Amino acid sequence: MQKTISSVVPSQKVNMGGIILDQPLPSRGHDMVDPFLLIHHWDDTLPGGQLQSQAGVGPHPHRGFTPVTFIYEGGVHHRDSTGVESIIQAGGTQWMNSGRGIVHSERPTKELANHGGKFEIIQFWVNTPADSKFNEPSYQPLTKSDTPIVNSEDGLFKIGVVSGEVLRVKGVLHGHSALTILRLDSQKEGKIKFQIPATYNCLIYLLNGSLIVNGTEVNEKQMVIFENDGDEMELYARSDTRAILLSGQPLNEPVVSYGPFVMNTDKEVMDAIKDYQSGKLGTLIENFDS
Amino acid sequence: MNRRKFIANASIITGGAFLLPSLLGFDETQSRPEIKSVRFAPSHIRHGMYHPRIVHTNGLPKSVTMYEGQRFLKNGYGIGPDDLEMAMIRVGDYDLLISSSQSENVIDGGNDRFLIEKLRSESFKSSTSFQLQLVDFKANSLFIENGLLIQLRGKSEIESASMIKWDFCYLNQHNLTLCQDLGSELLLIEF
Repeated sequence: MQKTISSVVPSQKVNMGGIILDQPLPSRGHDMVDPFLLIHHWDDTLPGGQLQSQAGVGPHPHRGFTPVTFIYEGGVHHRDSTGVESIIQAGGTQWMNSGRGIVHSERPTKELANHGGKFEIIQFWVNTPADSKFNEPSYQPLTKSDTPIVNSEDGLFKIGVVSGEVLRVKGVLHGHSALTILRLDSQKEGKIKFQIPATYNCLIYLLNGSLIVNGTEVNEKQMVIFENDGDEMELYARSDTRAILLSGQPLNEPVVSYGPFVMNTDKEVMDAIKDYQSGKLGTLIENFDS
Repeated sequence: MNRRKFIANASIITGGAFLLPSLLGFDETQSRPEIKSVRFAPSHIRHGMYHPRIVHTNGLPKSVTMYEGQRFLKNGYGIGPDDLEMAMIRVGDYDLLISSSQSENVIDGGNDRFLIEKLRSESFKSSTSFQLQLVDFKANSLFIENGLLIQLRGKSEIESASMIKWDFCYLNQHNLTLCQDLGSELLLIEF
């Protein structure tokens, strides 16, 4: 049985400290699609002539969830308070479990900041179950070449399997709950069918292009949310299209989300703020010479 | 010092000060309190750019630091009635978070967390060097030896100057007249 679409949601523009983003989630009527809490789409052309320290998002804390970044254009230079430093280029993924707390920065590469050019990323947040929120933070990079790919029979539709399993291809990154997370990339008229467990909450967001999703047309910068009533997914690209599919077993836990923290109670958020203020989430001093 | 004793002492001292200011060493021409507003960072959508900066130090004791206020949008994208606002003050090495939502104002500091309303009936003394209390509605004068007044709800007038939510002033050896609206929450942090 095909998954039924429950709603098609347009993204809205939000301003994050001067960076203008498309945000389909959260939006009016859709606070989260458990366990997914946020989708930010940053599509920009950097002017060049900047120092890397002036570009992107400087040091900031997180606790209680996993921010995942898909890079589409340019490269992202990740630095964090555990000492990790990593550059991932287009086609790759940065998967960071913030656990009990981490401070990180996410900036365009030095070359991109200096010389300018296209910069496009998606960041989405996967909630962490309460019993794992205080795990050690960790960072897992995944390059384009290491991302398992499923090709459609017509050769036009490609699925990058980042986490979970689709058409007997397994992803290599793992969260704290059952997930299937895919990068969808199709040329015009590409089509593919696959299954997502009916019990998983599921959404698709289109960066660009147009898809027929289980019979319904979905266009760029729209998010489609599914009912938990079937497992079949049938996609047809009406034009060259890039999209993401996020699906996972819902956690069904209380969620308190303020700014960069996602916990289960108000008190836990305040504790996170206090712990950050007192340095317990670590300190990140960026070195821009490396 | 409990609240009643404090108010009683404050009243005696205040009354005395009006009668015999020079004997008590108070300056009759003491300057008007300088009322400032907590400066807020841009509101945080979900994620946001959370990196509080120090914004107020001038005129405060050396041990006291005030950070940018923070406003976290509950729905993650736009201003709404359930947003969380917060003032952050460091006293010595003690971080005091004063959070305010539609329904309640809460103090967080060290291992302590309690509704500010609780300070109507009892003061809170930190393990370090300050004490918190809500100024009594009915008090129309107050002597502050060394402390910070912050308006957390409603409105008040001190020395005929208006204080609204998130206004504050630091006072040192200061006699003041005050009048609070019903529903005002005026927090006094005594150092």
